Amino acid sequence: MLHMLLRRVLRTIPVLLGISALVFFSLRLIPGDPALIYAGDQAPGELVEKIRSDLGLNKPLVTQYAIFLQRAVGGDLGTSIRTGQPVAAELARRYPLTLVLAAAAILFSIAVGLPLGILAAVRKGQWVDKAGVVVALLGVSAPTFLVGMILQLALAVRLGWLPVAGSATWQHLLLPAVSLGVFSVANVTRLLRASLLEVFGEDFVRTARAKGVPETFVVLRHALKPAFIPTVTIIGLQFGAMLGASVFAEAVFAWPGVGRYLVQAIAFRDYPVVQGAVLLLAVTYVAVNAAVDAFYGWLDPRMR
Amino acid sequence: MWKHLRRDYAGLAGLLLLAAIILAAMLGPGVVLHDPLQPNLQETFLPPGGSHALGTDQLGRDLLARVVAGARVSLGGGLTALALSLVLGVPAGLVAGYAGGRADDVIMSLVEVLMSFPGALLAILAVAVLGPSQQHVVLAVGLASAPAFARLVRGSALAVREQEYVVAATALGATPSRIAARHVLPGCITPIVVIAALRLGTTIVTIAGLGFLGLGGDPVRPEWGAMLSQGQEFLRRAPHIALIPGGAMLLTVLSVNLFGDAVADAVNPRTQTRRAWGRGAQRGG
Repeated sequence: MLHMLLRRVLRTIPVLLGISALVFFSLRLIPGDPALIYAGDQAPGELVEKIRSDLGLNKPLVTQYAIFLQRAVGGDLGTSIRTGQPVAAELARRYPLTLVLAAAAILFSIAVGLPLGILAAVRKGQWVDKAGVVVALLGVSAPTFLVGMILQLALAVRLGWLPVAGSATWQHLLLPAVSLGVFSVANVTRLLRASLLEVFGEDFVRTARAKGVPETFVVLRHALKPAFIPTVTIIGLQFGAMLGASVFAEAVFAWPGVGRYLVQAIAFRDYPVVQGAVLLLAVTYVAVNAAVDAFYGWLDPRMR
Repeated sequence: MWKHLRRDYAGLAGLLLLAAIILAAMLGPGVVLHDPLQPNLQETFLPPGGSHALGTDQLGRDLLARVVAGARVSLGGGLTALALSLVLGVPAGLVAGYAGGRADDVIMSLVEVLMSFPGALLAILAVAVLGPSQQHVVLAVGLASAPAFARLVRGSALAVREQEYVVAATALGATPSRIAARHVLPGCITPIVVIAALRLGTTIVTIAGLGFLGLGGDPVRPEWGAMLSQGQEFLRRAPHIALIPGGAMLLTVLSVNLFGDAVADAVNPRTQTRRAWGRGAQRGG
């Protein structure tokens, strides 16, 4: 088990190196002199030169990348061009907000998707199941930002039940989390339904039914656990994907997470921030996926 | 395939809806009376009905004209991005799968790195590098979806490579590039078509999403994502400004997904039990 976990962690290292290299070098492709951007258009030549050597921009590109990597590992992601503040500190302030948002969205998708999936499998072909198909199709077709705006219009602007935007109280979390979670509700429901139906055909379920075990007990006690394994994987992968989609939920509800910081930085051409934010989200995604893999192995002994 | 499609009512409904949207996108600008770009400060925030069938926006521009013009931008952009990702991804996957060896290692490492960016993040990074504009958004989304096709085609090419007809062609002395193009590629067409059909919805959503984030450049241009984000400011006063492009977007993605599903089922009936939401659908925005 430990061996497998270690191997999984080691496997992420080249990917993480690749991600950091891609982010670093792609942002260096942008035309324009970074030193001049930092210094401003009106800056005297000596200042630009000083900034150039301070930032190490006169060194070869590969050396610059090595320095960047070394600093990033030590938690230094440079300073924002716009505010002059350290990027890492700002990210540290916003990162928990993005994680909380994604976690709340996952909780929502499990809380709704789990009972819906079970119901659709048990009542296969009946109206609950058919309604589930329509809901799932709508769920995967409606973009996060559209769901978010419709919820915002209905529940915040019209009915005034929940705050329109911001992050002051826990109520502010509800609408962005639900809009982020809708896509996964559809996924969880459909996948759990399919795997439950598969398990229903297995011998041990037939045996349990033949023994006269009550149907509720058969579903919840015997069938749910094996059917849940692929669903857990999907939920884990969904959590990773939510880090990407959170950019949109954060934009609709002015949720001050990493995604919003990133989008604002693009508008201001604040490249150190873009670099840091993209890196943080991608690294989290890789880590989450590795964790899901390991958890899957632990959950399903056949995978060991 | 058509025989199967004819009995798939959901797929047919999707196809009809999609055909209607394409028709509106093609003929609309000629039929609609108003100019989608022409502001009219005497007629701002008009509700749907009257001389402006779907009302007007904050600058008095006709929303029907804008939404129809937006269909062109959205569908055109989605198809262009999809074509771009095929042009980049399919040859890369073919080389990786058929040639193997060093080329395979290099291509697949790159694919793995590119696929380690969650959701739209790679496209967002690409737009940050290229600079915000609608062309760059389409280019970025195309680039970001290419790795998925490369991986898919590599898998199929690996399987096809061992087939007897490929071995026979090799024995007859056909050049590797000829074998790849004439023998391996046709064997990979089915999964490519299926995944392309399922991914069109994702590309459309991602493009609109980047427009919503304000990365599409020119805010005057009638693009659904940008229209939605401008409409958000006026949710209280005139919700139709956001709801109309939003509804158009939802209908389009819905029809594309229904149709994509039907194509997938028709081509490969064994996968019928698992629909798009369980397999190809990627999170766009």
